[in-house]
Amino acid sequence: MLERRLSVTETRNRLPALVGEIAEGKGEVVITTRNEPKAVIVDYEAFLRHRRLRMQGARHVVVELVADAQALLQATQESCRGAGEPDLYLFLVSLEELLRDIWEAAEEISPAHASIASELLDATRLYLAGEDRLRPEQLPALAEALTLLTRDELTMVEAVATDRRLLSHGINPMFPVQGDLVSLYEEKEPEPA
Amino acid sequence: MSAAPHIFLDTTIQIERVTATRARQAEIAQALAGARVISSTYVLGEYLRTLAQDALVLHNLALRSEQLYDVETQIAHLLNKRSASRCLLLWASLHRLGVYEKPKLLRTLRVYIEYGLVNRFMLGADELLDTTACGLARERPAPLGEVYRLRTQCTRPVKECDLAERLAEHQSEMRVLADGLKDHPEPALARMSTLCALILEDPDVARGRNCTWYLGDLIIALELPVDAALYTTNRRHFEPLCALLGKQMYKPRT
Repeated sequence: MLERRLSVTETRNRLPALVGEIAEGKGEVVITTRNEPKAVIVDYEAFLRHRRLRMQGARHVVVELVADAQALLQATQESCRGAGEPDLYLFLVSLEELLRDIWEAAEEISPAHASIASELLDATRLYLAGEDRLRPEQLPALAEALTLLTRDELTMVEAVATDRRLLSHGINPMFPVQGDLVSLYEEKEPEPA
Repeated sequence: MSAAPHIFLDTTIQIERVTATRARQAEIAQALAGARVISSTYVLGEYLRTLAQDALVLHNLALRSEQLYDVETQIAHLLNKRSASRCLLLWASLHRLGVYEKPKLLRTLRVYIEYGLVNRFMLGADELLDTTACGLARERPAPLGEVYRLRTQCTRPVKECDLAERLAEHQSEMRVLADGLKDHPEPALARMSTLCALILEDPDVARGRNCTWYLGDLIIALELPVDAALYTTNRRHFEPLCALLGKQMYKPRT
């Protein structure tokens, strides 16, 4: 692929011609500041192709990582069947690591994927911080939400419903606030213009 | 067998059950266990223009800040003292768990803004009264490019609720409040007395800024059903109102 490097000033001066050339398939332009590459102008078809590939890659990553997380969940559920109070700390550490990567990939897929992954990650962080305590009976609800992430299409309506389902199982990914927030709402004062 | 008590949640307790420490959230959930839980669209409107609006402001500030520490600087420069304090508490809550990646913080705030806060408002509510048909309660944060906008103020000339009609049905209570709160040492309640007198003359005075700024507690006290007890953290304002209206306050066992 033909690649030209132009400074911001050169790009600005030649922009109308450059747009035509790039659209005709005459390569892409790397824009530099102080000789450092900073941005690229590519033709729109190439951009869409790149975005499609990135999304496919992200889907592939999510499917693989969710499979790892499900295996971890299943092993944990089985170990919870024994007597006594299970220690879920090590499980949560591993799950958090997976969910961080799942969330990053989910951001490439859709806002609904990203929202569900983000909530699962936040919930796990709350458990690790000791704000909440994860109970073995909540594991199937986590597994169900994880499975949703492997779907190609997800809507925000489904993300809203997933949040409600998690809440109904006592899984609340919203961070609690320390300090007296409520008293700051009790008296109103004019908002700035 | 006695019937389940009816408990009405006002805006302060709704905010608390969503944002307070987990111990306090559990305390509230315990207090509501077995009760018929009621709230209203007017309370939802207040909740949106307070907590949801603050989350939205924080999101928009974080979005336009290059560095995360710039968010605190912008909060200090752009917001009034009370809004700044609220936003800093919310901001600190996001950081407390060691989350410092800007895209992740933004996503968490987006979840709060787009549905998280409203889902938690509705959680466990058996009934949502719609006595005022509040127009602002029907608003939801709307994306405008990457930022969000939420309409938090209505105006008197544009009629979009039934508040004036509802207050007109409560003339005797309004008269009691106008007389009973006159010269009250609490300035917010004394102002309510003045407004009650004006609304008795012209119910439309209630709409717009008077509704969203000064009459919130009065509207909630009036819409509180007689068979329900009000659960609030703002006893300072609601105790005198409920006493005058012969309505009950909920006192959780400690």
